[in-house]
Amino acid sequence: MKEEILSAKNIEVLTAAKKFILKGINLQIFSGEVLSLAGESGSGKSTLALALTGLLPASLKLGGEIIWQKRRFDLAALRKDTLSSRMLHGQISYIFQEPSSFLNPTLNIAAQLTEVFIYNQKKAYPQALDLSRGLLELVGIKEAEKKLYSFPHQLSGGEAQRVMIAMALAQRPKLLIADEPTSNLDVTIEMEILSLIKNMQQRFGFAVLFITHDLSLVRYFSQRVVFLKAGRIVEESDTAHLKDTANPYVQSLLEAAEALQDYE
Amino acid sequence: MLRFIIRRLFNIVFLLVGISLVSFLVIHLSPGSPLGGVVFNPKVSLEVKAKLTKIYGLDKPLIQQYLDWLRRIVRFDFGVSLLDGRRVIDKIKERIPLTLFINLISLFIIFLIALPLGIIGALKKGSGLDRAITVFVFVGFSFPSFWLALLLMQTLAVHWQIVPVSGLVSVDFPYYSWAGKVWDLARHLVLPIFVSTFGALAGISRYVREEMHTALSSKFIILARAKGLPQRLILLRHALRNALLPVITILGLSVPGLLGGSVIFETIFSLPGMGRLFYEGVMARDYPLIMGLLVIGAVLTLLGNLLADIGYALADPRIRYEAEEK
Repeated sequence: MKEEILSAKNIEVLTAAKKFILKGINLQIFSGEVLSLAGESGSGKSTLALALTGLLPASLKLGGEIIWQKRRFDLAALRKDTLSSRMLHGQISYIFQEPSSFLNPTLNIAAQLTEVFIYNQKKAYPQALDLSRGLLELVGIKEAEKKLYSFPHQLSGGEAQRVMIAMALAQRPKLLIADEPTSNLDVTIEMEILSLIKNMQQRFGFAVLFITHDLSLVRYFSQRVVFLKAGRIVEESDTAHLKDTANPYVQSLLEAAEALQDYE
Repeated sequence: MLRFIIRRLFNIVFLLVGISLVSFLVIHLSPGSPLGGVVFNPKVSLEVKAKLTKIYGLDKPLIQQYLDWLRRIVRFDFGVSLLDGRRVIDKIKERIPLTLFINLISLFIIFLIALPLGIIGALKKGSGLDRAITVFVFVGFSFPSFWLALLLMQTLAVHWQIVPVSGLVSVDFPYYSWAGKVWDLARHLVLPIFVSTFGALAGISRYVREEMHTALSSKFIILARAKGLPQRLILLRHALRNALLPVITILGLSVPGLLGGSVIFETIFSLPGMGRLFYEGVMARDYPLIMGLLVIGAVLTLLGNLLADIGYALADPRIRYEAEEK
């Protein structure tokens, strides 16, 4: 049995009007594994990703706790405790969908990459710049030197996502939370980005929480999958045994994925 | 970028001709004449009236008058005041320092106070502090400035006699030492500057509050927090930087206001500024003076717009590169 690095207990998210977005979420992530989180849109996948480290906007009520590497964090308290949440974010990295709107439009790539090294790892600027350039090359960005001084709007969608991955790697994460990292990219680039994430995962050995609505990606990418429906976990299974499921929700998602594949 | 600026300057010239033509026509279409009482005075003979009209050039067709004025203005000759025969440019020049001085100080204080108020409001949105700030700035916004000015004069100047009632300097100003002169001037300007500042806080602080709130709830702030950056860096480098971009536009747009005085205000405090000069000019139908002031205002407005655009382009890379590619 692999070592458990993150365990979420009874996570709840409520709107200001006391409407549940997530309810009673329990899940475990083991070191070095890829866990998929699947579900139809609106099922609360992205909210859960953000809730795990207390990143939700203050207008949403957050409850529950996580145990991260044997340390207990109360999520409601975590949002106000900047020290703990900085510590946590130093070890848990994110990549998001729509990378171009998550990058700061007014800062160039060098500024946004080096700040991780400078402020979190106390490196000097020249060294931070070298490390950043190295990371851009590692994630397969061509003309890395030039791209360092580009602004987000000058990058293509694929490049922006590679930059985002570089930023995540800069923190040397133990867990990478990838929230639909390819849903805005076209199919050829989608496969490039996914195999990049997979390569990096094998090379650095971090765990991945892979969030998607696409079940064909789930099978390609992960060993285990958790299904979310209307804010609750409805099924947990090994990807190898996905076809044998008795859960009608999972069956319908599977059928939808197959119909789409036939169509393509 | 350079081509963009040149093209804009080119446009400005055409706009200025249009603006001046319209203002010229409007002023001349309004009833009254620089000859004022002379026209209706039965003791003045028709001959003298005709002579006066000719001297002022008012007998020519309107379009000819405009072209004459335009011919002079391109050589920066603003003409001579019909009221006292002094050069318009001299009359304006002597009013500029005071108006510019008061407006610069006001603008500086407005930003010095409104920026932090807006930022605090955004950070603590909905809190008691935020509401207190909102009430404070809107009280300032809602008070009519002439009323507030009179009220403050009544209490601070008349009742408590802390500051002088009005005017720019005391009667014995020339006999003061250097420091005494500064102190005297400052005492006279406290009320005018307070009144002009208080009313303007609401606009800027609400604007900054909205922009800062938008920036704080944008996606790049989520990423910045997910990167585990220090709170101070997230607020200053990621949020504030983006929130202040639109403020550059406001700064550019306030350039014409720097030389535009307020009539009500300068009258109440008896300050010899641009506002009163304009008022006196309009009342006397002093066409060259009015046109001079209008042209200066128009030039400043157009240049202010251009400056705002350039400033915004320099600060925002998205626009900077677009401008360079064109």
